[in-house]
Amino acid sequence: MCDARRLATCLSLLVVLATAGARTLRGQDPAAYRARIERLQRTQAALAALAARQDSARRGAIPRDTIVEGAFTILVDSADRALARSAAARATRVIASRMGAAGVAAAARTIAVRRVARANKPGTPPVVEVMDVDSTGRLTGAQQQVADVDAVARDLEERSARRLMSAFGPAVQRWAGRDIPLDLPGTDAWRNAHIDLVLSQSSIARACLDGDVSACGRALGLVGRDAPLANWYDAQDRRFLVERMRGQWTPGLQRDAAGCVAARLDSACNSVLATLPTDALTPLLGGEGRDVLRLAMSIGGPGAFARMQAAADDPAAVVQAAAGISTDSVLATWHTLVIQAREQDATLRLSTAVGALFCVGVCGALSLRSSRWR
Amino acid sequence: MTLAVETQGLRYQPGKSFALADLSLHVPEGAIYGFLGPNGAGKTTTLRLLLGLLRPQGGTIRILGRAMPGEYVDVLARTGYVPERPHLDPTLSVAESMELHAAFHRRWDAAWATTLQQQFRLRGDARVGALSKGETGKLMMLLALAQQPELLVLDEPTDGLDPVVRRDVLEAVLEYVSERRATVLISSHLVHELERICDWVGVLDRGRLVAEMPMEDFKNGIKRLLVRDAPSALDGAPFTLLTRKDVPGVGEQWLVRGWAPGMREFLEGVGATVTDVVDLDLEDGFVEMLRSFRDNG
Amino acid sequence: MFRMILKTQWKWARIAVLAGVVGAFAVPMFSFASARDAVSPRAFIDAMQGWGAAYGFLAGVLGLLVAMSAWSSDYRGRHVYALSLPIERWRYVLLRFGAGVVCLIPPVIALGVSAVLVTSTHALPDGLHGYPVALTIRFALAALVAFALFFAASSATSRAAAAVLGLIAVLVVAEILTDSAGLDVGILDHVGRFVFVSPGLLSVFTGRWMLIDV
Repeated sequence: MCDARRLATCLSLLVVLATAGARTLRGQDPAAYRARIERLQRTQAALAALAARQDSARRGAIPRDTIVEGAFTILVDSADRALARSAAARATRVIASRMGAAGVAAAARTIAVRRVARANKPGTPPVVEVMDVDSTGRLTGAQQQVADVDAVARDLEERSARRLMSAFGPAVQRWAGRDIPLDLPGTDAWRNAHIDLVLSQSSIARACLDGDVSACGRALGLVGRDAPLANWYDAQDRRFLVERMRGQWTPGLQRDAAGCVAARLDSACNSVLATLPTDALTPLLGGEGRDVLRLAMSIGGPGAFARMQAAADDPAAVVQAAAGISTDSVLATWHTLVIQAREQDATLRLSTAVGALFCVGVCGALSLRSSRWR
Repeated sequence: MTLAVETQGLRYQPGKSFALADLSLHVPEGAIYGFLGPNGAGKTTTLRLLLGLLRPQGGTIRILGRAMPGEYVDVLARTGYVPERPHLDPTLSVAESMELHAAFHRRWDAAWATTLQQQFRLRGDARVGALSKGETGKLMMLLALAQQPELLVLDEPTDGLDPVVRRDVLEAVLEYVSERRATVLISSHLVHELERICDWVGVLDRGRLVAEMPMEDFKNGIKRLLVRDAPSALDGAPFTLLTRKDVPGVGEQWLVRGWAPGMREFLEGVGATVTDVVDLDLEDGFVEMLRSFRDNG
Repeated sequence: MFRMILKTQWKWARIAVLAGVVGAFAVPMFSFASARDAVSPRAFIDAMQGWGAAYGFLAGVLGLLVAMSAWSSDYRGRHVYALSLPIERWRYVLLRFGAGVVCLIPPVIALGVSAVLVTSTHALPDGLHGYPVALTIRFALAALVAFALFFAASSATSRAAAAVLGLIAVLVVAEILTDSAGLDVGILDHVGRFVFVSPGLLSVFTGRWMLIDV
């Protein structure tokens, strides 16, 4: 069964279809046209009534108790008060440690936590539904979680991270993603960035790998986002890109693709690549921008978020504000971490070698213990 | 009498169809001990138990004064073994097989090995897999002898060999024994062959030891008697009556073990008369002994 | 004693070992030749990775053949010769094991030489590094694991082999039963991870075999 949100989507879809259908019906018999419109209106009214009943039922099931813990006001039944309070306290601690008081204030919101009644198999844990409560009292964004403090606290942190990111402009959101990173950057992030830089098709990314900090800024999309193709790839890169994607071009683009690869016409390369969305052209696979923001925030400490709020809707400016030092300094630090994290033992991990030797030992012992040789 | 091989209550049952039961062997030091028995009697199994190739399920084994299978390294260093089937690597040459064998035996006599090789007319570069059955048998015997063992365990060593090769092999064994005073335990189902060379004999049938005695006793002690007026019961006889059957017009024909000429008087004392005493050859005696053993369960 | 065991082992395994030497020398060469004209580091890595399975395969086959040769002669003679030798049996097994391990050395050296030649005589794309030593060690370990595994299997009795097969059958049956009972246990999944994911017993065969990598 659809919930209220889905029902609204269904209704919109229905209206669009009806409108489109009406267009195609233009020129048909007016009586039939009217009858069809009336039928659609009746269906729409029935669905709206159903959505209203469901919303009403959900509102009727809103938990009765209200507790306030840190950044959260939580509607909860008395049975789950302790769970909700502990989870909210933990989530608030995490937000405060990364974002400071400004972050906690910005993350403030009302949440509903309700026990889900269902026929569980024996041994499966109880489940709660966590929902946002908007200013009109409507419940949105329902997510089911295992009824333990860890799971609910993580859910609250994720909701807060999305809410905190909504404080920034579209350019920053496009660059850093839909939620603000609350966790600290780890070695894996730097290691993956190194692999991305090495394997990138972009000469800018490789220049970044060689230590050109300004190239790192371009490769990471901190600057030059207005002309991505020219900013990220040189003529040779563009030709390699077109050649590498050979076979993926539509028939209409095949001639340009051939002109790009065979005749080395840069204009042909550009016209082919211009048909791709910007996301498909990013020189790094993604995630590196968020990691740079993580790094900047960890450099900047708990005051980072307050400074970021004051910055313009520009990724470079936000990074600088978060770290409290210049963007180039942040990028230089990032580059150092990336180079240091290079995986030296990709071909043979120590644990693999130990496992292999253990296996040899086991097999040797089994050979010696074979009943034939005892 | 010092024993080179001694087992007490040896038990081994690899499956349901066959079992060695309470086997007590006694092979005197310096003897050539013939281990007789029909095919499937358990001779090869017994020899493998003696050498530690199989683990007994009960009983004790002492070889050359050492407990087996616990002290197998010492025992095998002093024991030459020629198995029933060829066990050498067929990809090696004769010379390589000798070299490999020498590496494991400290008392290896290289000079004598060369002499035996010439005596057996074995080419050093011949591949073992390409040797004839007789040549393979000779090579195995060469390896067993050149390690200068105190005990030779030969499992059907001449089975399937032609008479010339058989004589070569047995002569080599006898020559070795006479020179080094070694003990030989030789299993065979060829009774005539053992009759000529053995001084002790043990008879095995269906996993049980039927008899164990000096060869002289075995050869001379089994007689066929023609008896007139034979009594139906024979209590306190100084010999063992193995079989008896009626011979019309003559009386009864008896097969006895442990017969001596002075025993005629015992029979006359119970009213019977021995009209003829016939010496049985070893094979007849062996067959009659097995028949008697099986009849008596 | 070991010299003679080694001599016989060499005689039995020499064809496999020589073939292994040729193969081990060739794979790094071919893998580099296939990648040298790549248009970018990623294409270079992709081409090198295409040859990765060849290292594991070669190590596995080499280990299998050397292990089989170590026991084939004893099998033909039903182990009678080996068991009648005046030497502790564990020592005999160790001698055979050691001789087999020695036979694995020439292919490993061949691979090491080839890998060093490839990485030291050619310019690598920017950002990529050669791992000739790590690759050689991994190849040696994989060959050793394969050899040890098949050596143990060959030296075992049929009863032991039946026990191993029985254990596998029990795991499969348990997986089916737990699955049909609706229990999400994933027994085979756990076993697979235990065996093939580092530091699993056979994890040396899985994952990336890269002579040249980031």
